[in-house]
Amino acid sequence: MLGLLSRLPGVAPVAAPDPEPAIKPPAALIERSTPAPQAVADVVSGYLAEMCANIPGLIDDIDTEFLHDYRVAVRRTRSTLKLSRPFLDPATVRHWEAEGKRLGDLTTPLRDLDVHLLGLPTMRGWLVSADPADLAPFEAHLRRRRATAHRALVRALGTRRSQEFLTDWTGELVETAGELSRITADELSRGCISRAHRRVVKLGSAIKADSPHEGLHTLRKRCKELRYALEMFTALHDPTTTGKAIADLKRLQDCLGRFQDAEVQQHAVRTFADEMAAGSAPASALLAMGELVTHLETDQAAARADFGDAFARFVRPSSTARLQALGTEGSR
Amino acid sequence: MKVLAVYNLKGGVGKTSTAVNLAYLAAREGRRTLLWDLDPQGAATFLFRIRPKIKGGSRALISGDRPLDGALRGSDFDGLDLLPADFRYRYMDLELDGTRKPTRRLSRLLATVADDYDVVFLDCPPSISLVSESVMDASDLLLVPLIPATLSLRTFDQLTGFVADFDGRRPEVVAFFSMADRRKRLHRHIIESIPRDRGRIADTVIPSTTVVEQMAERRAPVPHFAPKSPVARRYEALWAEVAPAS
Repeated sequence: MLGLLSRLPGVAPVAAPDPEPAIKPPAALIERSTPAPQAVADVVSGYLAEMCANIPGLIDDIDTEFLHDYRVAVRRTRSTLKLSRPFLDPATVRHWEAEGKRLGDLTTPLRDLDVHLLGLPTMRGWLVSADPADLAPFEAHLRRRRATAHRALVRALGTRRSQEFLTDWTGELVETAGELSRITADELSRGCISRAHRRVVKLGSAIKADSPHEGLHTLRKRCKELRYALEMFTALHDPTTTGKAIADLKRLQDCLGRFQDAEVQQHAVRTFADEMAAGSAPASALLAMGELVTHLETDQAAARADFGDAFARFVRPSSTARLQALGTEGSR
Repeated sequence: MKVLAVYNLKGGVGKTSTAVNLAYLAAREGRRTLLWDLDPQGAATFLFRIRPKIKGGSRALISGDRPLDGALRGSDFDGLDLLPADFRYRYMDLELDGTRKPTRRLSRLLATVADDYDVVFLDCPPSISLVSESVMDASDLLLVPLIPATLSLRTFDQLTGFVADFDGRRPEVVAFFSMADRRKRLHRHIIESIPRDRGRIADTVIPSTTVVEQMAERRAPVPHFAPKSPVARRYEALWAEVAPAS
C-alpha cells in the first residue's frame, strides 16, 4: 500500500508499487463470532487498499473509473464507520469519519466534471433546435475546468494529512474499542442493517408530492448506507436473501439517482453558462445549454413521478420481511 | 486571480505571519489560494511542514525548464497550496537578470497557474532588488507590515517612493501596523499620529502577542489553532479590509 502512496507528489518512494493490490475486503476471514471492532477494521482496511490501488490511475488520469472506484471506497469507509458508531470508540470514529468526509469532498469537483463530460454525447442527442456542434464551447469549458480540478486533487492527495488516511489506521479502531469488543460481527452487521433500513423507511414515508428535493437527496444517501450495510459482511448472511434485498433496494436507488443527477446537472449547467457568459461565449452555445436544462427538468419530473411506486415497492411486505430477516429481528 | 505581496524592506516585521494567516483565511472562505514562499529562509514553508526544496532550484523555475505546476504542493489545509521556498532563491536576482524583461518574469510564471487560483500570496524577502521589482510588477496589492517605530515609517516612505517611480504595472500599496504593543507609549503615539497621506493605512492593528510566536511551534496558522484568540480576530479584520472582491 505504501508503494502506491509513493506516486503522490512530494512523497519519497518507499517500495515498488504492488502489482496485485488487495481490492476486496477480506470478508471470508470474518466469522459471526469475530469481535465487532475487529470486523470493522478488516472491512475498512480492504476499502483503504482499494483507495490506494486506484490512486496511480487517478493521478495519471488514465480513466475516469479510477476516481469513481476511489470515491466508492471512500463512501463505503465512511458509511461503515457511521453505521458502526455504537460499536466503536466515539472519539476515534469521529476523527476518521471527518477525515473520510474531507477526502471524499476533495474529489467531488472532479467527479462532477467527469459526469458532465461523459454525459456530453447523450446530451447532444437531446438537442432539438440547437446543433450538436453548438455545444463545442461548453465542452472546451468543461475540459479546462477539469484540468484545473485534476491538478488541485493531485496536490490535495499529496498532503501529509491525506496520506495519513491512506496508511492503515484501522488498528486504532480495535485498540480503542475496550469493552465493545465483546459484541460480535453478527450482532454488528444485523444492527447496522436494521438501523439503516429503519432510517430509509422513516425518511421515505415522510416524502410527499410537494416535499423539497433535499428530502430525496437525503433519502438517496441513506439508501446508499443501507446498500453498504448489506454488502459489508455478505459472508455472514444467506446470499439469496441478501441478493434479493439488494435488488429491491437498487430499484429505489435508480429512481433517486435519476432525480438527484438531474437536479445537480441542471444547477451545474446554469453555473457553467454564467461562467461562460462572463468569458464572452457564443450565444449559440448558451442557447443549446438552455435546451439541456429543459431536458433535465423533464427527466427530473419523470423520476419524481416514479418515486411513489418505487418506494411502495420497496416497503411491500415481502421486501420488508427480507430486510428484517437480515437485521436484528432475524436473529431472534 | 489576484496577487497580494506581503512586503517590506525590513526583516522581522511579521511578513510571514501575515502571509500565512491571511492565506489560510482566504482558503477557509473557499478561495483557491496559493502561497508562494519567495523568502530563502523558507519560514512559510517550514510552517506548513513542507520540505523547502524545489528540484532544479529557482533556476529551473525561471528558465521555464520545469513548469510551475510541478513545484506546487498541497498543504494540510483544504484549498491552500504552497510553492515552497528554496535556499537557492538567493541566486534568484542573478537568474532574473539573465532573462529578457526580468521584471515581467514573475507575472508570466504566475499566469501559467491563473486558472488554478483565485488568490496568490507572495511572501517576499526583505530587500529592494530585481526580485522586488518583479514582485511589484506581478502584484495587484502590496501589503506592508509596519512596526510602529519612526524608522519603519521612513522605510514605508522609501517604499511608496519606489513604487511611485516604478516603471511598470504599479500595485496598490496598503500598510498596516504589525507587532504593535499598546503598552508602549511610542507605539500608541505613532499609530495615532501617523499622517494618512503617506498612503493607505489599514484600520486594523495586529498586536504583538505570544500566540503569533506559537505559530512556529504549532506549525499552523493562528486562526486554525487559536480561532477564538483576539489576534485571530484581528487577522480576520485585516483580511476583510484588504480581501479582493470575490
